[in-house]
Parts: sequence; structure tokens; C-alpha cells
Amino acid sequence: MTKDGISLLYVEDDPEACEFVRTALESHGFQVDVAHDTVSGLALASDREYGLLLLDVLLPDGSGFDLLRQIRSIGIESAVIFLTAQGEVNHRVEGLDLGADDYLSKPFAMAELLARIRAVVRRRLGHPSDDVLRLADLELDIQSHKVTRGGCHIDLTPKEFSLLQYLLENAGSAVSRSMITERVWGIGFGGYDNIIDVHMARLRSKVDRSFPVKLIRTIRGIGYTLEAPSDAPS
Amino acid sequence: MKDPTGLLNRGSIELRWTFRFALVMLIVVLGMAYYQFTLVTLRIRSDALLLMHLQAREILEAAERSPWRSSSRDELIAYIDQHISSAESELELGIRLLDDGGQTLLSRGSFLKYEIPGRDSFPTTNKGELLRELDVGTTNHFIVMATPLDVGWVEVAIDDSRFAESLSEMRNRFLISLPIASLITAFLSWVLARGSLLPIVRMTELARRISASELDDQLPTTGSGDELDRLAETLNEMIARVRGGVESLRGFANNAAHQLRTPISRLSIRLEAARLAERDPAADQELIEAAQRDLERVSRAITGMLRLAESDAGLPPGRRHAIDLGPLLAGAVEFFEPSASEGEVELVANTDVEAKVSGDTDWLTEMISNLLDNALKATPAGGRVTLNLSRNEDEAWIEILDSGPGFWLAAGESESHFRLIPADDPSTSNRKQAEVRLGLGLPLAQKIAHAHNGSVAVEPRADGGSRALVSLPLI
Repeated sequence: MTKDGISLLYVEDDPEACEFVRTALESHGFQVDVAHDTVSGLALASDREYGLLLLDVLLPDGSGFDLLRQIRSIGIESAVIFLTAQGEVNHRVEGLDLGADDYLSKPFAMAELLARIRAVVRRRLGHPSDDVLRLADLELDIQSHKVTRGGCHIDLTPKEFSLLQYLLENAGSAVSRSMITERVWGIGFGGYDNIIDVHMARLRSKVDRSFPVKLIRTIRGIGYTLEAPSDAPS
Repeated sequence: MKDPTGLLNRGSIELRWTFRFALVMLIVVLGMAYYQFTLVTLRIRSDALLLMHLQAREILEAAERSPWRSSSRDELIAYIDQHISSAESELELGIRLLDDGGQTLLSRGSFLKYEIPGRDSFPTTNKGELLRELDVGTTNHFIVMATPLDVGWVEVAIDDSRFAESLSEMRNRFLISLPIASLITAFLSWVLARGSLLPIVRMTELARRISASELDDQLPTTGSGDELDRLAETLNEMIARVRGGVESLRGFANNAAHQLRTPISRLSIRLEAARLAERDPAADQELIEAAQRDLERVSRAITGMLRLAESDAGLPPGRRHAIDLGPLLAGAVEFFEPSASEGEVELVANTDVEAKVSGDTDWLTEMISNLLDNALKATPAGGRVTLNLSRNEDEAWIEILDSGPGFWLAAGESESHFRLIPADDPSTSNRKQAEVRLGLGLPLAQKIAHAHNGSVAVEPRADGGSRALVSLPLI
């Protein structure tokens, strides 16, 4: 799987949180280095090549935003996810403007962090430039906006189409409800998990109901995943 | 006093103004004195010259009447002597007759008394009056005027020290009065400065009283519309804004405490019970999941508080773009539509209006989402929520109507502060009441509208339910 061998740099000043997250990430097959301030973070980042940087925004000797600027200025283009306990929308916009790939507010669930890391890594690796996304007998044609399953046409609204496309792009990995809210609806604030559930229920009724093999699976405590039952997750 | 800094500042303004007023007044007084002094000097001098001129003319006429070379010479001398003696002695009038070559023919008065040297030479052509001034001895300063006769010259001399004395006396008097004038000027300036600052001092005291009495008062305005009235109005507006802020903060803090305490105390009870109970993997698992849910609620409440604080600070510069409200609202309605229809609430939208505002998509979407979410939660099954977009030339209006009666809405003392009161209606489920009571969405929507120079007004409808009206300035 793609996650194997990905090396991560985690810059966070709280040693306890740091150790916990490091252990959790390592148990999922990531190699994790940690730094507790911007100076050692910058040193590590310029020393080794990381697939992903996890940066806390508030660090004892500066901000994660500044650290990212410095890292980018020496030509390091690794993927970046910001973690913050600070305000929501403005910081999120500032982080993304700086070229971060994603942004996650504390406190977060490990499952949410893992889902986001996988989505970012997957996005970084790039999709096959195929215009048609496939999973089992499900086909989604990006160009013609057509969805078929087992040769039967499925009629979706534009938003349902985007939702299914997002799930297909991350097929095999879990996507959280807040990821769906941000990526599909472009809403940068949370709190509407139940509404996402209703949208998913609708999509499910169109994609899965009349077929014996169910592709959309609810993952407790996180969100959803789209996968063929044969390649169950590890 | 409680506030020495304020006093100092006030004192320094008073001092500065006093100094400025005094400076202006002194410049005016000095200028006028200098002008007067110059005027008097010129006047005195021209008086002296006129006097000498007249004397010369009289001698001239007398000389013509009785030519001094003739036998009537004695007559002329007598005339001149009489003339001199009738003049004021202080003037030290002297008269001298000279021939064309400058040789003295006759000296009377001060010309006899003092040794007043004659001119080196007299012009032979272009005869006219000649003036010179000279010091004689240590005390006398003479002005001598030579006037041509048909043959020879007549010189008239006067001592001008009398004029000089009166001038210096005038100067002395002025110099003596200068410090007094300065003192008076300074005092008047202080009175002026104090007088013009007095209303501000009064206003400061009032403002201090108001801040002590928790913003319940207003500064009095006279309605005259003068500068101070405008200041008072501005301050009143500011006080109202601060009061609104304080009220919403207070309401918010209560609300936040409630939202945080409920899950935290529940969590605490759960953990306490679990600590005392026998270990049981299934029960532990249940406990952990429940604890996570409680923590999630806490986290959501904190997020809400942060959002409220963030939107209170206003829209950051650079986040304003032209936004077409129609598609934005349609998108929000599309987002909520499935959950509305699941709850058997009809969600109707009329957004087919061209209305562009300046703002931020995220913020405006959040505002509408909050209002729609509230409306949907307040509406029981079988009800209806309507969203209408309309406009005039300057403003766009977004109207959100719900058929209720999920909650009644009581506007607080200021518009920016709402309280939500769950309606005592059996058709409203407990779940809905609990959620509605959170009520963070409405203040947040209000703040976002404010950040876009707009407003949100919410009122109960006569037939139950409520109506939220957002107005935003068009671009």
C-alpha cells in the first residue's frame, strides 16, 4: 500500500501528544521523526527528505506558518498538514494560502488524522490521468458526468456526483465527514456531520441499494469508505 | 483622584492652549505697541521740523521787511530777540544769519549760548532747506535747519532733547507695563483655554460615571449639532456598541459555560462510576465511546466560541470578493435539502435574483447555514422553511421563514443579542429543545452580517415560528 515507507516529520511542542501520535502513526507503518521547535524542525527538514510534514501552528520559538515559509524558501516541496488549536477559518485560509495541503484543528481523532494523511499522500502521488474512475463494477466518467454500475446508468445530482468522485479518488481509504464537508461542499467549518450522513444515505440508496454487493461502508467514529469487499483494509 | 494620568493630560492641554493663546495675544500687543511708537516718533519729528520751518519763514519775512544790511538792522535784531524770548526756553531756540559764503553775520539765542559749529559750506546753486543734527556738549542735541534767503542763509536751531525725553519716557512706560500686560494676557489665555475645555472636562466626568455604572447611561446631547454634540453622539454610539459587545459576551459566556459544563459533568460522573465498578470489557468499551462523544461536544463548543471571537474581530482585509448571492444560497439550500426532507420539512427556496455583495464565501455560507440549520431544527415534521432572496437598489435581503413553533425568539436589549426560548409545545421534541438552547448560530450569523456591513433581524411571526431577515449592502 502507499502508506508503507512514507516518512513523516512531526513538529509539535507538547511531548506527550507527540509521543502518542508518533506511536500511533508508526503502528500504521509510517516512519516518524519528531521535533519540538522550529529550529530543530527546520534542521531535520533540510537534512532528510520527508514525504509529509505535520506542523503545529503554535510553537515555542515561532509559528508553524513561519516554519513552512522557511522550509519552502530552501526548496523543500514536501506535503504539509497544519495542526492547530487556534481559530478556525482565518487560520485555515492562511495555512492553505501558504501552500499547505490540509489543515486540522485540535483536538482531532487519530482516525481523522490518518484519513487526512492518506488523502494528502494519495493526492501528492497523483491520480492516474484516467477520465474514468472504476471500483468493482462501478464506473464514473469525469468527462461525460456519467455513472454506471454493472452497466446500469445511475442518475446523480451534481453534488452527489462530486461526492462519489471524491470517494472513488480515495477508494480503499477512509474519508471523514469533515473532509467531505470541506472538499465536496467547500465549507470550511464543521458541525454538520449529521447532514453529511443524510447525503451519504441518499448516495448509498442510489449506488448500493439495488445491488447485492455494497461498496459504501460506514467506518465508525470516522466517516465512510468506498471499497470492493474483496480487498478489505488491513 | 483615581486617575492622575487623566488629570495630567487635561492639565497639559490646558497649559498648551494657555501658552498658545498668550503667544498670539503678546504678538498682537507688541506689534501694536511698535506701530504706535514708530507713529509717535515720526509725528514728533515732523512737528519739530514744522516748527523750525515756521520760525525760519517768519525770520525770512522779517528780513525782507527790514533788510538787515540797512539801517533797520537793529529793528531786525530786536524782532529776532523778541521772537526767541517768546519761544519756550526748553526749546533752546537759536537763530543765525549767514552770508552766501557761510560767514556769520548775526547770532542770537542758543547760537550765542552754545558753540554750535556752522556748516562747512553752503551750496551756491539749488538752494533749498538743509537739515543737520549735532550733539553739543553732553546734554544737548540740536537740529539745525538752514533756509536760504535771497542773499545768504538763516539758520534755525532747536534742542530736540525734550522730544527725545518724551519718547524715552513713553518707551519706559511701555516696558514697565509689559510684564503686567503679559500677566494679564496669560490669565486671560488661561481663562479662554479653560473655558473651551470645560465642556470636555464635563463630558469626561460623565463618561467616567457611565463606565462606573456599567454602560447604562448615555451622554446628554443638546441637539444643537455642534462639535461637542457630535462627539457626544459618537461616544454614545460607541457605548452602545460596547454595551452590545459586553451583553453578547455575557450571554455567550453563560451559554459557553452551560455547553461545557453539561458534557464535562456527565463525563465526570461516568468516569467516577466506572472507577468504582467492576471491570467489564463491554461496559468499558461503551464508557469510552460515551466519553468520546462528550469530549466531542466540548470540542464543538470551543470551536463555536473561537468562531464567534474570530467573526467579532471582523472580516480580515483581503478576504473580500464579489459574491453572487443567488448561487451561494442555492448551494446552501441544496446542502440542507436532504436532511430537511428526511425530517419531513419542506424547504422552499426563491433565489433567482441577481444580487452581488462584497464579502467572503466561507463566512456568508456559514451565516446562511446557521440560520437555515436553526430554522430546520425549530420546525417539526410537516412544517415548512422558506428562503427568499430579494433586493432593491442598495440592499439585498435574505428572508428565512420557518413555520415553527420550535422556539420563540426574544430579542435582547440590543439587536446583537438574541435569546432563544424553547416553546412550551408538546410537538417539540426534547432533542430539538436541547439543541435550540445552544443558540450560538444566531449570534454568529449576526456577527458575520455585521462584518459585511449588514445586519440580521429576527422576529417571531404572528402565526408561530420566526422570521430572520438578513440585509447586506449590494456592490
